[in-house]
Amino acid sequence: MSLYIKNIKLKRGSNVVIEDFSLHIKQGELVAVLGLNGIGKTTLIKAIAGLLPVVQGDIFLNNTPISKMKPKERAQNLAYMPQQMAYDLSYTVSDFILMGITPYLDFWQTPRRSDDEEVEKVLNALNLSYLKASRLSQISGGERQMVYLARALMQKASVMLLDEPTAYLDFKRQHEFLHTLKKVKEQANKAILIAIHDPNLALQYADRIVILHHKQMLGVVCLTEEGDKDRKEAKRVLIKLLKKAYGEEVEFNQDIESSILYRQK
Amino acid sequence: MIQRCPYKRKLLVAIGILLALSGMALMIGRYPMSLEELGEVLLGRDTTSSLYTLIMQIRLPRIVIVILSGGALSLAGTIYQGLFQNPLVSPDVLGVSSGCGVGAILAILFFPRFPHALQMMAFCGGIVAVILALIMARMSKANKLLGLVIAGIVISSVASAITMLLKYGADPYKQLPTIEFWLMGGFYKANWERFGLIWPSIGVGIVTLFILRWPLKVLTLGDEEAATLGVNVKSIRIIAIGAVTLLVAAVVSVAGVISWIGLVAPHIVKLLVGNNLEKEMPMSLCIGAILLLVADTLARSLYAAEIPVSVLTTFVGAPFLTHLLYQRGRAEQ
Repeated sequence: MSLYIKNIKLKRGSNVVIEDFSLHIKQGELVAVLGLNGIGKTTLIKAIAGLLPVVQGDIFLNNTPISKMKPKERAQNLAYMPQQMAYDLSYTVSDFILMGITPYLDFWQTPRRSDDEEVEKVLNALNLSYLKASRLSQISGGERQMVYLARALMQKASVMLLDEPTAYLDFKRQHEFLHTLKKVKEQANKAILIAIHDPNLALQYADRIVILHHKQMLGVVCLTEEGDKDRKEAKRVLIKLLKKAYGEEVEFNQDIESSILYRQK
Repeated sequence: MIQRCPYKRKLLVAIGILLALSGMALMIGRYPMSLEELGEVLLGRDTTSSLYTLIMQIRLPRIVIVILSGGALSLAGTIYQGLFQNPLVSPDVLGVSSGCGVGAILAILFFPRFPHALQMMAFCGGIVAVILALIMARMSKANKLLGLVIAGIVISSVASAITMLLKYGADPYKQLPTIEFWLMGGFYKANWERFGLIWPSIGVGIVTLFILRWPLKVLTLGDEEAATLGVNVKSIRIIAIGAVTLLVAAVVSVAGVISWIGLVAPHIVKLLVGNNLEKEMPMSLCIGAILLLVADTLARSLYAAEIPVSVLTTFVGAPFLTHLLYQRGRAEQ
C-alpha cells in the first residue's frame, strides 16, 4: 500500500492553501511535514483523510483514487489522528479503542468478543493495559495520544495520518510517542505522514522531511542515506530549505549531531 | 454501590420494578379491588364483570400507552443528547412538539368531527416541523449540529407564534378550552384504539435506533472522527432524527406535550449505567417508562380530578435535575 498524492490543489474557503502538491509515501516510511503555522499542514492531512475536498488533482492508495472509495473502505486503509479531541471524554479507554474496529462493521453490526480480545492485544503491545478501565478525562495528554495510536492500530490501516500529535505533549512524552510510532511503523510496515512543527523531532524520527511554504512544497529531504557524506549533504539541504521557510535565523548546531538552532540577533 | 452491579442485573431490576409498578398501577384508582379479583381478570377467568371492563378497557391500555410513551420519550432524549453532544438537549430541539401542537390545533378548529383527525394532524405537524428544520439546517455548511439547533429554535418559535395566532382566533367558549386542555397533555383518553395508532410508529422508531446503536455511538465522537472511522455521518444522523421524530410525534399526538421526561430521564440513565450509548438505550426505555408511569398514576389518583401529567413530571424532574447539579458540583470538588 503506497500513498500517491498527485498534483493536488487545496482551498480553505476561497483561498488557495496548497497548489500543485505531489508526494509519494511508501510503506515503512515516516514522512514529516514541516512548515509555519497556518501554512496548510492540517489542511493537507485532513484532505488526505477525506475530511476536506480536493479541488484539483487526486490522491491514490496504490492505484485506487481515494475519492472513489466508500467511507468504510477509506477507513480501513487510512487512520487519522486529529490534533484536538472535541467531544465528551467519559468513554473508557478500552471502549474508545474498540471503536477502531468500526470500519469493518456494517451499520447494523456491533463488535464481537474477538474484537474485545484484539483491544487487549493492542493495549499490551503499547504497554497501556493499566489504563484499560480509566476514562479518557482521567488520563494525561501523553497517555491520551497513545490511546489514539492504539485505536489507529485497531483500524489495521496501512497508512496513518497524524496532525501535530506532539503539539500538547511535554518534552519527554514527545519523544516517547514518536519512538513508539517509529517502532509501530517498523513492526507493521505502515506508511506514516505526520505534521509536526519541531524540526529537531523531524530530524530525529522521520525518514523524509517535506517542507511546505507559500502554497508549495519547498523541498523534500531524505534522511535515510547510507553514507556519511550523503547524510551531511541531506542535512545541508534541509537547513537551506528551513532558512527559506523560517528565516535566516535558522542555524545548524555544529557541535551536536542532530540539532537545529534558532539564533535571533 | 449501584456502580458495582453488573449491567445485566441492573436492567433486570429495572424491568422488575416496571412490572411491579404496572401491577400496582392497575390496582390504584377510584374503584377498589382485591388482588384475587385482579388475578381473575388478568388470567381470563373473569370476563364479564365491570371490573373486567375497568381493567381491560380503561386501565390496562392506559398503562401500556404510558409505558410506551415514557420509554419512547426517554430513548429520544438519550439519542438526541448523544447525537448533539449536549446534555441539555431535549427531544423537542428540532421543533417536533411545537409542530404537533399546530397540527392538533388546526384539527380542533377545522376538523372537529373527523375521527382521529387530531391525532393524525398532530403527528403530521410534528413531522413537517422537523423536515422544515432539516431543510433550513442545510444552509449551515460548517457546524452542522449548531445549524440544526438554530433551525429547530426558528421552527419552534414560528410554530409557537402560529399557535398563538390560532388560539387568538379560536372560539373562546367551545374551541379554546379544548385547545388548552390538549396542550396541557395527559393520558385520560387512552384506549386500545389509540394504542393501535401509535405502536407502529414507536415500534419502528425503537427498532431503527437499536439497529443503528453502534454507528450512533461512534457518532458521539464528533462528525470528523466518526467519518474517519468509516461511519456515513449524514445518513446515520438523518435516519436517527427520523426515528426520534417518529417516537416523539407518536407520543405527542395521543398525549399532548409531556415535559421533562426526554430531558431528565437520560441523565438518570447515565448515572445508573455510565456513559455508553449501547447500554444506555435499553435502560433508557425502562427508566422513562417507570418515571412516566409513576407520574401518571399519581396524576390520576392524588385528587378527585385528574391533574395534567406534565405538572407531575415537572415537579419531579426539576428537583431531580437540581439534585444532579448538586451531585456534579460535589464530584468536581
